[in-house]
Amino acid sequence: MDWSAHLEIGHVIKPPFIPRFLLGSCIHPSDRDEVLGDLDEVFAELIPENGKHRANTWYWYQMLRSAPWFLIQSFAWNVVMLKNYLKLTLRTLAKQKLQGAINIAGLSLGIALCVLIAFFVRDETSYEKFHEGYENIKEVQTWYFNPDGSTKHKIPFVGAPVAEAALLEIPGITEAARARIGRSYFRIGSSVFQERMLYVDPTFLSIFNFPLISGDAQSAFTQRNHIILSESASLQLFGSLETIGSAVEVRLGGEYREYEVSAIAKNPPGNTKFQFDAMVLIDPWIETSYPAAIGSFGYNIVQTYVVTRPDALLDNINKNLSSLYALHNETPFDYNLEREDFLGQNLPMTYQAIPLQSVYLSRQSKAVYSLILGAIALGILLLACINFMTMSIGRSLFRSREVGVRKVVGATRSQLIGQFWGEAFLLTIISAIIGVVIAWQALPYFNGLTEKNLAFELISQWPLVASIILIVILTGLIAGSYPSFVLSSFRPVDVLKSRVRISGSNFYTRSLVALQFTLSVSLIIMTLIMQRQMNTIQERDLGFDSDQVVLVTLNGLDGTGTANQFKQLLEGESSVDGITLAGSALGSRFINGLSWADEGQQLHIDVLSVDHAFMGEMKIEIVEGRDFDVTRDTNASRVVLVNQALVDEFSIEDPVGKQLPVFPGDDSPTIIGVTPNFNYSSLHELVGPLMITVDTDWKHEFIYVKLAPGDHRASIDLLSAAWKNVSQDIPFQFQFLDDRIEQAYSADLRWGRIVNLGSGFAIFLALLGLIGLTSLSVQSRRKEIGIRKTMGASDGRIIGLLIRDFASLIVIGSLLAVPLSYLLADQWLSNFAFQMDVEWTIYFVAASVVLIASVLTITAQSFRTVRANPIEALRSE
Amino acid sequence: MSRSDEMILLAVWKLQDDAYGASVLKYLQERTSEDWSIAGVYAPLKRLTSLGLLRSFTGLPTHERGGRRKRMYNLTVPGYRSLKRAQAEYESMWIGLPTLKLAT
Repeated sequence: MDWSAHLEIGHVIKPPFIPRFLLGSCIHPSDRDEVLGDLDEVFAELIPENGKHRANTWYWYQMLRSAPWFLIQSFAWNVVMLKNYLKLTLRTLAKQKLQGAINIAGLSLGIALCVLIAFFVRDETSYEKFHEGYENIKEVQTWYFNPDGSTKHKIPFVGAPVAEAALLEIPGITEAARARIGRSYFRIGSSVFQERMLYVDPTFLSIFNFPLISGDAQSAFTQRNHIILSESASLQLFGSLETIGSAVEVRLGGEYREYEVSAIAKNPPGNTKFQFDAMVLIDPWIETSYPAAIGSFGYNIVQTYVVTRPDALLDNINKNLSSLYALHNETPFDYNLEREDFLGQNLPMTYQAIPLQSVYLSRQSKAVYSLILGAIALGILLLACINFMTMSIGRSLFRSREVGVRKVVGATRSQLIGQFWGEAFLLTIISAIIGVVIAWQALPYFNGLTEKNLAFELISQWPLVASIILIVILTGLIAGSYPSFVLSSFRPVDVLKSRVRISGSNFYTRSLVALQFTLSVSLIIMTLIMQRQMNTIQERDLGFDSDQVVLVTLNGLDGTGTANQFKQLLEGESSVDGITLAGSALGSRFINGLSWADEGQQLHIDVLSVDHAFMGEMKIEIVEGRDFDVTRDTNASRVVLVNQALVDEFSIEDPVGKQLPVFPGDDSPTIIGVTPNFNYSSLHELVGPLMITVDTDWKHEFIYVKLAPGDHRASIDLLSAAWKNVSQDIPFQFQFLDDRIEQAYSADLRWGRIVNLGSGFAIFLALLGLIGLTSLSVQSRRKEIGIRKTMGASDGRIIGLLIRDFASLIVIGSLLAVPLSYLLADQWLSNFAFQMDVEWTIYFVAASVVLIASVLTITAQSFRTVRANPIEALRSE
Repeated sequence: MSRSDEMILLAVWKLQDDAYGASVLKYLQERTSEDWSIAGVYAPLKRLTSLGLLRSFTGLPTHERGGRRKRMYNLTVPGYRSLKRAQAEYESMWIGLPTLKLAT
């Protein structure tokens, strides 16, 4: 809209600027010149007759009277033009059906994936944010330090009295509550159910936002035997929601106790870690299950949450928590002297408060996963957008003639720009709508893949809606920019005489293609690394035999007695190879351990309690010394096996026959044998020092039943029948050890699947882009190909020529992908103690895969043109 | 056909090869007591053109207009006919009017 030229009139006096400008903006460009020219002419004649002032007034009057009519005219004209453009867009789409479909499909898939991932990330970051004043809620954790002051590990449990002590002694803490999540058995009449139990303090309900649908929060825990059921639990146990006052038996400390329903709570939402079916008071649980922990700071058995005043500094709270730990701990150090060393540089361990909303993401490196997923989503969207742009450019190049004709007929440049941009926007808007619909339809599958329960809520998520709109605007803007600026700038005569040569090899499109290859090669590398790592883990020799082993959970039943009964019942059964007992399930997160302080250092070893048969049945090797022996080890508490890691950690020479360096004096048991470092815990962690004991003071939690090869279902039925004779209190519960170990990596496997999906998408989109670009390049070089063929070039050589065009881009893209994917993979691999070796072959394989796929695509795409009779190409003008 | 349409057609006829927005506007302003606006000229010009009573073409730019093009108008045969018809009707209305006794 360049009207500045209108002002440079050859006459002495120009018409007033403002009305001229206003009127000019109202008039449609097709009429603007002549109308303004007419007015200028009359104005110029008026001046000598009536003077400048009168002429100006006349001009203003003309503007005011005429502007409305011209405005309506130009508006009506625009509507006609819009209709025309729309028709044209649809026609070109219909003419290039395949490319148009690829274009729209790619972008809508990209947007759909982004919407899904945005839902996911939002859910991940929304944990615990529904509690009122969640910013002020902190979780108190126990942190262990290495002698050099670095953090060894953090556990989310503290001693039972910490909550009360913190509330009383630390200024700035206004409320405190303890909680512990576990599973418990419920009995009504003769039917037994297992439910998720949340043991809490009464203050828990005022800190956290778990609304009751009936009953009253104030009186819900007035009696020690009150129980709050969730809606679903109430329905499951009683088939009704009107259950206040009903009686239910809850298993606590090994026996069933009478409880009375005092309230019904809404089911907890998905974005909280407090997933419960029922809530009871925590004190009776501590008293019956861990009597030694009452009032003791030494047993880290409860989770503790404090509410701080909004103005309280977290640093001060943490300083005070450190002092609290030092003050109450019964270890022989003068912590008061060292209290000033913040964060306990010299403390072996301390308490620390963590903001509640960050607890979830910090645990199990969930933030890394969100990061990876977000990066994949952005990468794919970027790929789709780039595709959209290159394809739009490609499609528009064949329209240069249309542009030429339009220009000759009288279209202004701004009209052409508007047309191309309008088209780009129309396509992006259509794609966005399709994308959102796809996301909506695919959400159930996505939920299955991520094991989440996401709901489709667009309206309440304005940031997402805003970003979709932003994506549409940006993509449309960039996709339309090339055709609108470059195409509209051609001189029509050149275009019509085919003097303009366009090829796909300008810097703009080439760099976009290189970027596409960077992204897809990175994703392939990530996929390969994740797969190899998971294979490494699954194929790793764990050091014990997990085949055909069934774990039967004891749930607090007396281990040895029950197991012996069970054993007797199954004796002579051909389907059972052996029965043994242990305190933990091998291969998953380990909890039993022994901690003590020694010379300012907190030491910790894991403890595996077993029976005498365990090592033999599980085929755990003994490299030095001997296995447990029922006849020789008369006093079970006097002998232990240790693993190599323990021997190394405490630098024991000739360990067999030495005393375990744990307890001072003669009380310490003797080491009778050493095992290799078998992976008793999850492979996310290193094999730590382990003591294996047959001392029955360390409880047994699992019966390991080794099945003979054969029909496992029949064997399980047999076990189940035998179990009924052993315990009526607790239903038979079993799991294959292999399944349980696999479960420990289910999150990793799930992420592997998601990354697979993402990289599949990425490769697909990159190849689509390549198809578009190849067809463009081939089309614009048809004549060249024709001439080369008549001069005697073979088909293969010509295709090679086309491939060479893109090969450099692929190589550059792959080179850039190496550092990018290395960074991401390194982040992910740091989750595992056992890492695969990232070999350079992975990069090579990824790059080759992309290269081969590209070569095939280019060949397939250009084959027809190359094979065509060269006369056809040369004759067409 | 309204009176202003008629005036415009007559102006175009009169101006012959020099009929365009500005000249029509000036001509009408000199000859009538009405205030003419540029839109008031262009609206009938465009409408009459689309009715086929006028024909328009792009004229050469002149120096007085700062090199801006003109849109020139010509009367067509249908335009001429409808003007003649209007004139005939008008004149027939005047014929035979009795002498008016003025109320003053």
